[in-house]
Amino acid sequence: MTPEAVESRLRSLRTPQPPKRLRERCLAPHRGSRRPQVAFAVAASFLVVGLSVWLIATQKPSVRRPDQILPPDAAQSPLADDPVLRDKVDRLFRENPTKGILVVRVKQLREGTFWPVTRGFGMKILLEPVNQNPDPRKEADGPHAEVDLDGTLLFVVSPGHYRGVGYQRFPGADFRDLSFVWEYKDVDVQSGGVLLLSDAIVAPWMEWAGPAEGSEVSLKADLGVSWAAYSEVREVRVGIERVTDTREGIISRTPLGILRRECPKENSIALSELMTVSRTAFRAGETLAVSLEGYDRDGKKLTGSKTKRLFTVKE
Amino acid sequence: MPPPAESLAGLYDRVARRLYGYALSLTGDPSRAEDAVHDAFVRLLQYAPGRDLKSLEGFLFTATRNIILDERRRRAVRQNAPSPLPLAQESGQPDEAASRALGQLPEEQREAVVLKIYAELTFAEIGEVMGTSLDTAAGRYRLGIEKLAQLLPRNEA
Repeated sequence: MTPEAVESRLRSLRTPQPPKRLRERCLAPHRGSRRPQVAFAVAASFLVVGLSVWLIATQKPSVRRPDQILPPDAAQSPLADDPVLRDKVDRLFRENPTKGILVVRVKQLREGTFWPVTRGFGMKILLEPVNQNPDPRKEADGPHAEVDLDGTLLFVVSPGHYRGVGYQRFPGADFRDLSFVWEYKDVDVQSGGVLLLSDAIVAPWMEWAGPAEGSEVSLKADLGVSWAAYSEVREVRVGIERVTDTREGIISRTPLGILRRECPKENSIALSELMTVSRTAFRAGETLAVSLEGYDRDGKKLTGSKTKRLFTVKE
Repeated sequence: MPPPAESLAGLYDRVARRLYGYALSLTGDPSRAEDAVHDAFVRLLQYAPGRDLKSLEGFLFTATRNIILDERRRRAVRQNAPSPLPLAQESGQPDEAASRALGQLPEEQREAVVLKIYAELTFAEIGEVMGTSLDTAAGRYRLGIEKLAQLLPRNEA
């Protein structure tokens, strides 16, 4: 059985429904309120009377009421603090009354600030119904949207539970040569429901500073890879591959590992440090390829290197 | 705007089945799972006021996990093989082979699989709940699925 078949089978199964009384218990919860126990029923009834008297006397419940806890609408709607988005969504629902809506905001990192991308950018979210087995022969498809003047993509989707399998972007000329990052996920779309998905980020690529493409890097000198400063990047992940050119002219790439580091001040990582993630030591004469990804202070991916950098290791 | 009390009801309706399934997979005991979910809501109501929680769902999953692990520690219970999480097809027909195979996974892998498939969390969210990095959560999930690919056919034989 393949891992894909296992995933598909597990996804087709359901876990048990919680007992109905749990809803009541959770919506009016009190610490220590356990499941009904016959042995304690009589004692509990006395306790309830006592507690009621105490509550009335003090007018101070032991647990705050829900209206004192949850911010208005916080659990239900991503639109609570965005009346403009609410209007747009309402209009879409009037045109598509039985559908659900997925919302993605597209932002461009420019001069240290995130600006909404308000024109010249489209995207298609590739979705598959969860109850259908993935078919590698079939190309995934999904809803398409163009950014509006607020930098928002609004996808109208039929209700259902979908597996997110990717996206296809349609950038205008201004965005074609920029990095694009968006984290897709499975979605449960309900009729009349709105899901605010993670922001999509358009940003400049990370630029390699060294070594030069195809150059040699000395093990003894222990120089490594370096990149141009990128102030928003707080963490880097360097992917390392061994590149082998076989006699038959076939180039094979073997992933050796990914080094994850807080972004060093000098924007470089030595060869000896890269080697720590590889099971085998780097050998003189072998060719390595490295890729770079940059993450912000919250661990969210921002950008990466456009190309992998190839170099040869020497003594 | 719906009355605030409905917000809690909406949150419960959205998360209850997934949360209960997760608790059940950790405890193997419906009563303890029910209590853990209830106590997680109590903690939410006590902790949330005035705080800017990143995700109420994430808070509930993390709280449920902590409550169950705390209880285990208090009772000094080592639970290497809890009763399998009952799984059933849409028709209601139980899939005992899948339940058994899931129960045979190491706990961390089983937890990652349950959180991904049945709690529908992202790897980043799973990492937060389990207190690990995203990569570790994804690795545990992948190992779990690979192991299930071996265990499932054996359990069905």
